[in-house]
Amino acid sequence: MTTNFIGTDGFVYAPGNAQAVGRREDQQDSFGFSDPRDTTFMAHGGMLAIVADGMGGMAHGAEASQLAVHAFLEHYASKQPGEPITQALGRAVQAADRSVFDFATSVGLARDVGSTLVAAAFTPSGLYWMSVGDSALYLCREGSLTQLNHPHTLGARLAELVKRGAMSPEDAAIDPDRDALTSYIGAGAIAEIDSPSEGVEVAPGDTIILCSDGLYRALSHEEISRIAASAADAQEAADTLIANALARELPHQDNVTVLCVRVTEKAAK
Amino acid sequence: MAMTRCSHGHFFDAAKHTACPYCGVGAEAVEGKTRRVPDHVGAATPVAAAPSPGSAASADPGVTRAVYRDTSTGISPVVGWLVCVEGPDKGRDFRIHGEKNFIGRSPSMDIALTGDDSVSRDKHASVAYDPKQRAFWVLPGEAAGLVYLNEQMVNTPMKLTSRDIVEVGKSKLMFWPLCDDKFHWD
Repeated sequence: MTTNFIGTDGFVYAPGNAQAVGRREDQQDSFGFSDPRDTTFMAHGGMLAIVADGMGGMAHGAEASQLAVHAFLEHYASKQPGEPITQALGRAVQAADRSVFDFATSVGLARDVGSTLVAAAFTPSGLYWMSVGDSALYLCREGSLTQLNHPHTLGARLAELVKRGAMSPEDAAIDPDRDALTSYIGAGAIAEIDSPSEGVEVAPGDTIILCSDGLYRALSHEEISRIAASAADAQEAADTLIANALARELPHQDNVTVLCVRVTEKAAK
Repeated sequence: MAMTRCSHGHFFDAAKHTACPYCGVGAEAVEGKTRRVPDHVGAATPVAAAPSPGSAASADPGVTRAVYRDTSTGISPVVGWLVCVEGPDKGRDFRIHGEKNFIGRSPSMDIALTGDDSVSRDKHASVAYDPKQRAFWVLPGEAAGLVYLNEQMVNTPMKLTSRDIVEVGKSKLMFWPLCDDKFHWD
């Protein structure tokens, strides 16, 4: 038995989650799912899954990501049936930013503490997301992996410069700041947000993955895709992805968090 | 596998854990209202939960946690400008913010002269604002390239005054202060 989310679109969304500290001293990632028991909310707001990767020394990064997840879940849950999904997601991300900024200010570390955030809403009108920073949202369909969100890193900007011919690929590849974030939650103003204006259709058999960078720095897209596709269910997919990432024994394995959602037909047994 | 959701929104196997392994919070009461459907009874591998912290990550090379401070977001107030008056970036202005501002060709530099190949990628020079003295300084960088202030080589920090010309590579930058004795942010 599992606690599945029953969509009004005829789909069942089965959640799975797993997390590991890696080689860090503490866990600065946070995650959460909305409440599947609230079927009235499911009918318009759908199911929400969220991952946040905190940054900042010691316990501050953990606190930041927890606050971001809590504020986001709480504000999205206050969505009314008439409110557009994109608007509710926008409210939620602003509330998360404010919550983390207030915390950072209270400990005298404004702009040194923050979090990434990727949230996915599985709604009757498709999959929406809200992404700030470098956590990833993947769609695994028929064995191939597509990253749905656009990461906010200097590396992503450099890639654009390379594409335009304004920078050599070699210069981009060795830039020591290529992994640095160009946008994050908790600055008191969000520099960049990635969110679609319309929902993306999901189909039975799809596995949607939300993860912190600890996953994709350890495993290739091909590996993630293969593992997610061959898992029996969402929880097994999340567990196996984490186990495979840790099996790499990377000397600097970051915190890693994986949320998987497997879409099935309602009638499936 | 009986999955239970804790009040923080984490799912876990209540048969294995009495409290949520992710946050330590107990399970929510899920009887009655919960709409459960039979799950595919998969041969789920045990959760590779938190392994031992392992070696202390003191050096942390290559981690992503550093924040690239985008000066366009207005995170710290502008205190002055450098305006490119000669070179590939001629006509562009660059904001100077509090404390040290690194000049280089890399887009990650505070003052990024991305079009000038003769400028070092990282830290060719820097311009600093000292909020206590309300003074601006130009400092030599860590790279091989030289920096000039009004045609004079900069070996040690040199004070900047309005309309001074800072030269790096093929680029000449005119300095223009905002903060001084008459105006400052704090």
